[in-house]
Amino acid sequence: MPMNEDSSGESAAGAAGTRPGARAAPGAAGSASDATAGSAAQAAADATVRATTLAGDDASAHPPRARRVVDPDGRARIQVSGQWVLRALLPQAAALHRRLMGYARDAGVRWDLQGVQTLDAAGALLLWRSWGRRRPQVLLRPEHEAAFADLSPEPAPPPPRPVHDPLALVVGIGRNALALGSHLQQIVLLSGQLVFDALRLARNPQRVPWREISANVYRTGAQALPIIALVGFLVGIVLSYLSAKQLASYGANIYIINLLGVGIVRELGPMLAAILVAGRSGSSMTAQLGVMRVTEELDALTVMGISQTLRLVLPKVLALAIAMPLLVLWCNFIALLGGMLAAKQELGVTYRQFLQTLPSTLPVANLWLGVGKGVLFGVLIAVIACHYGLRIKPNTESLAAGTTDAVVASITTVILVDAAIAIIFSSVGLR
Amino acid sequence: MSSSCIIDARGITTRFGATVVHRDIDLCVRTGEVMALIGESGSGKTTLLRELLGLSRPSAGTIRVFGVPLQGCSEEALALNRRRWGVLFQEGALFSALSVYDNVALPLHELRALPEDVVRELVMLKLALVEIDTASASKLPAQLSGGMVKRVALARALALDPELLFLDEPTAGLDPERSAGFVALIERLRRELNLTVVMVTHDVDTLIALADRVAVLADQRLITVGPLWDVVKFPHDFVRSFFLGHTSRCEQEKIDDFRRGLVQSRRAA
Repeated sequence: MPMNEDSSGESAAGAAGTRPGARAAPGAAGSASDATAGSAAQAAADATVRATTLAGDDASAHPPRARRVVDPDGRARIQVSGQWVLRALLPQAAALHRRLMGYARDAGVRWDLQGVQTLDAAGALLLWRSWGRRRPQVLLRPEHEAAFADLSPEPAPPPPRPVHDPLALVVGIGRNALALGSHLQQIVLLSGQLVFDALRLARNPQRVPWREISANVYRTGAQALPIIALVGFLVGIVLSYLSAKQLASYGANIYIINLLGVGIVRELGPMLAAILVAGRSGSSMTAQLGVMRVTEELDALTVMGISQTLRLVLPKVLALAIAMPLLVLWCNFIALLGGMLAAKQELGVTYRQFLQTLPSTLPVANLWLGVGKGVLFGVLIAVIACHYGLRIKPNTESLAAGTTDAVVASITTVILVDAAIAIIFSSVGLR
Repeated sequence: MSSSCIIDARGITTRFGATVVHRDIDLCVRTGEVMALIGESGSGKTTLLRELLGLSRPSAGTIRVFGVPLQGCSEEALALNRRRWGVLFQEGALFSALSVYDNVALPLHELRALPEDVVRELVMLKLALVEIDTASASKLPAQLSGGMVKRVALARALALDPELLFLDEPTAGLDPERSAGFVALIERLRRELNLTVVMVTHDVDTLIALADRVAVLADQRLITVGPLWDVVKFPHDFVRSFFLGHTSRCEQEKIDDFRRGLVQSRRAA
């Protein structure tokens, strides 16, 4: 730490004591400051530390200083002056602390703090620690008395260390398993509540929240069209292009239509749409509910006697159940279009040939299966997203974790369910 | 720059679309004083406070804090400047993911110059200052009561021992006992540190106990700025209704008596 030690002529206006001449500055080395402390007993040391702070700052005009003078009665006195505030102390807190410790080693020394202009908790603490956490003989301005009143003779106890648990791994696995169980339980409860709400609405159709539903269909469906088109188109092209290379080597060019038809309509279309919607709308649903928890809007709804599931969750679930199959169809259409363009380019399959052959190679059951999966995935994504949203605790960390978990969980669930459906319906729509 | 003004705002005009919130406001906050900002809801108190903090930018006008203009100075100068301020937000604005201790320690850690044990002791001092017990230091903000959130937020605002303290509704949500303690704390800090305080408040008791000068925001302007006993006499509907029933308490001698009493009662306690 750089430190300037002024000679007394330069720094001490009205300084008592003899002129010591410039001495070596105690640097960062601890031994140097010890040496200072020892020799300080003989000579009146005069050391000033300049603060390097903001220009025009009051604190830099009166930096914290401490100097040792010998009174006419032969007793040593430490003169402390300047601005003893955190900002001014910061550049040389360590060096000052060492020097003060050196001064404090002499138990008979008197401390004169009357030259201190301002003293804050940090300044008081620095002096207090240098004094060995007890009050020496000290002259103090009355307004600075209070700063020392709160300081305790005992250092603040260190925070308790977290105990290391040798079974942490096992505990962690168990905890995760239990968490999974509680998630499943809560999702089942939420789904059941939604069914009850839906039945209630069926009995009172005038209470159906049409506005929320249509707003959600617009937000999750209509606004997702461009991104789904882009992704679907590119995936169609890539799939067609890669397959074309393989098929051409067997001379089975025409089978590109079967491959694209079944692959996209039965599997890729619903999957792509579900993944995009989970990332796009699922996360926003979780975040929305989470922020409503943070801002206590959920509680406000509850105390108004308005059901959270009826007003917030059900419209989202219904909206995605409507929007998702439509998005699946849209995705199918665009991906097939991309595939068709690439097939013409790579294999010379004409558009007319493609469009005429497609219906005969693709049993319509595949379309129903794809659209049905769309409805199911939509409901799953919305329920999972809302479940995580309602679980969020009112802090930012939980909001971030909840949103991530919601997206991961909904995409994973969609893929698992898709695999199960693939097995269950393996004899449907394929020949 | 007039040297006595810690905050020097000139010609502040704020527009939101077609709505004019402030029209050509001049405000000077002098070193060491407690300046209170009052006004009816919607008069732009919080907007003005945000502009003084440099959080939003007025449509026209300049604001200098410690002589440094908020607009048009370098990020670094602004950051250094801001270390000399403490801000108590109305809702506390504690970092919800950090414990009480970490919230208060954050500005100290950010300096990257203090050893951990010094930080710990400073944090504990600040928490003791606002009467938060050690057991609560490891709690998260969500586990605290509203009043405690406010006190922890004050401890955080004071962590760097600022020269300038902004308080947005400091005593709202505190019980009378705490609110008196809060007032005494501010009083003590400004005595020790020559603290300058800018506060927005609705509480007449806080005004009587603390405010050196009061600025009244109404009709898009600062209609009057002055000591409480002068402001109460200002002929304006808002001022009349604000101090309704309190006018006699706001005479200069009574305020002086009240404050002396406050200091003595705290000392006795």
